[in-house]
Amino acid sequence: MSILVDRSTRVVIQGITGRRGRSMAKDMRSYGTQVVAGVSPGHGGEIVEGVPVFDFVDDAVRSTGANTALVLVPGLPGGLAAITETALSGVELAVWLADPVPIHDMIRLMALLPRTGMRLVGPNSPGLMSPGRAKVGFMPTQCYAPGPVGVVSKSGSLSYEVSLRLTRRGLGQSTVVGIGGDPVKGTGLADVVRMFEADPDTRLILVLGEVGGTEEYELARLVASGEIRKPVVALIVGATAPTGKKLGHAGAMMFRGREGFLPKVRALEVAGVRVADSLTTVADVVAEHLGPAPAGEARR
Amino acid sequence: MQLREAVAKRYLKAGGVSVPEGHLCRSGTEAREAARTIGLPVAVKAQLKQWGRGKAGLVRRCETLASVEEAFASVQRSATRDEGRATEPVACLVERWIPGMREVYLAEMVDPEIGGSTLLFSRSGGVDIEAASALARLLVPVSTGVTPFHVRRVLADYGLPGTVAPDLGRLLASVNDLFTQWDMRLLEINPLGWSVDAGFVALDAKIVVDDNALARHPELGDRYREEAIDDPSDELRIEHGIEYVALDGEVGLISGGAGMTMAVMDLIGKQGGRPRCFLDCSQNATSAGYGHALDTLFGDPRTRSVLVNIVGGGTQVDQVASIFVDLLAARRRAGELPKPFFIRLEGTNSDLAKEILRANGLPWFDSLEEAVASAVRAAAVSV
Repeated sequence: MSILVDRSTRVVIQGITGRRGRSMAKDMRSYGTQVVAGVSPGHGGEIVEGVPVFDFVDDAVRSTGANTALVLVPGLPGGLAAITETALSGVELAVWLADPVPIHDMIRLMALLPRTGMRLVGPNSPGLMSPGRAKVGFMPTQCYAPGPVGVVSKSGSLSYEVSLRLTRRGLGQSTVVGIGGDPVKGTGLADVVRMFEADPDTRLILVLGEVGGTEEYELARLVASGEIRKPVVALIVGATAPTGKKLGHAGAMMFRGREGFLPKVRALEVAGVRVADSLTTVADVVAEHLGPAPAGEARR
Repeated sequence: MQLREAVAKRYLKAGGVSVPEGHLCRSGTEAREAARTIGLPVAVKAQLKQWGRGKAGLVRRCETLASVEEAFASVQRSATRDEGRATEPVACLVERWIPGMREVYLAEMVDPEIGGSTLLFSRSGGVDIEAASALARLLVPVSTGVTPFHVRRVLADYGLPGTVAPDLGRLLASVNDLFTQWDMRLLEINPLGWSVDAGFVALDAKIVVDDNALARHPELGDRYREEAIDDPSDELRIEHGIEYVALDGEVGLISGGAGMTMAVMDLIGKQGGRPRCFLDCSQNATSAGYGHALDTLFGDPRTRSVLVNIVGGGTQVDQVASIFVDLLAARRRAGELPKPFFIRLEGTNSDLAKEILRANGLPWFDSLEEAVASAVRAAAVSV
């Protein structure tokens, strides 16, 4: 199992003919991910890294059975059109790495997506990793190992750092999901946590949050209500961030007090989430709450 | 990017929203002249981006020409600014004071919780958006825009007569059009004045434009650069793709990714140091980008040590290692005294990065904590 991506994932890369597209196709294939198609307007019929290229995503889906799109198209000028094309192509999942993406374009897309059945992860996502099964993105492979911890993060590089710490401590990951730090995004923290709850391979959910935004409160509600029964550990960064300043992620624009550090940490703790006090201790806290492996886990 | 009031009002006016007659002035004499042209009384308003200007004594009502000059001078004394900008006068907007207006609140903002645009409104103008719970909220669907229902709802909250509905409808439509057309994250008119004679008038205006959409509006970027007294961190962001926010500490930080950057700031704090800045270079992880970041910190007298932390995914950290080796060598050749410098790299190609740093005499850190400890120690001893 794992969530969102696994061995059955068949990837079409939108923007495969660029330098980054080529190197990612090669890297993901070497990881064992099935990269079955590429799309670049005007390049239909070419072969890149052994992958057939199409002019349109829907043609690629019909010809190759691709079910997941990795979208390398930047936010401007063509992002809105590219994701609209993806959403109308029949793929189930799109992972969009672009940053920056205009927030009004995300609002327009979020009005469209529920009608198409496609899930969008991103923008500003580093991708998705189900260690040992599939890699759809540009995360550093060496940081990951298969295991029972489901990780969801607003920040790409923080998720690499924390995954590496887990891996070095012998704590592998079921899936690591970078949802991106934008305030309006395709898949939210709570969506991913629900998926982890339903995933038999995930025994503990690790949430990497930050100051700004209010998604952590939705998580707190889910845990407090009993909808999430698996242990949840969180690391919230930004304790030293000044209030009222925008720090990089557009999501960290703080209008209201509850988007600050302490109110978030308190709400999570009251709900029953174990909040690690720093990057230094997060792997220890995960180890402490993971509990013993159920019988049969050793087969992996 | 926040637009100053005078610029924001230009956009409002062009979009069909009434604003008081006003002139941007850079000296007491100009202010006096403007007041004479407009007619007394006037408001003298410091064009600074900080919020809560009224309480800070940066907005003054003046009834005489002499008091206009006095207000301009007093604003100069009250304004707190970046050290580097202290020699330039704070420009002031001198504006007609319209008597007898009821003051209400109106804003449109992107609300991440619902993933859409929301109208915020209240019959009490002058409230702070920080007190957002006191404001009524109404989604403006992408598919419909402002509807007659929205108008009725807002009008009822304002408690204004039904005869005002057509005026309010035009105002809300203009606001929503501006908000969408110019990729705004916030358009706040607070207070929004209303009187029988003048109708609706935007007495103050705050516009925050989505930085992610600036490529779609080159004229906004240009206009913005023309305006003199701006924040140097805006320049770093717009010109060099570097997210920089100056903080109060002494440990200079160059990092990649907002979450990771904040995590390092927190570790600096845990280890007894204080970060000098939030600096995220991931949008421009190139020799030019890192060079500007390094110049910013080396040129800053309050930065006592510099810590670079890059955990590379798409960024190959062996290239980052080479870039910093070259940047440091160039500064040594130029005879600059480098500050204590520490670099910690992890992620894609970290094994190669390790070789490069070691070959060039830079220490390698196996953990972020060790690198942070070194930078904090160095900041504590160096003066």
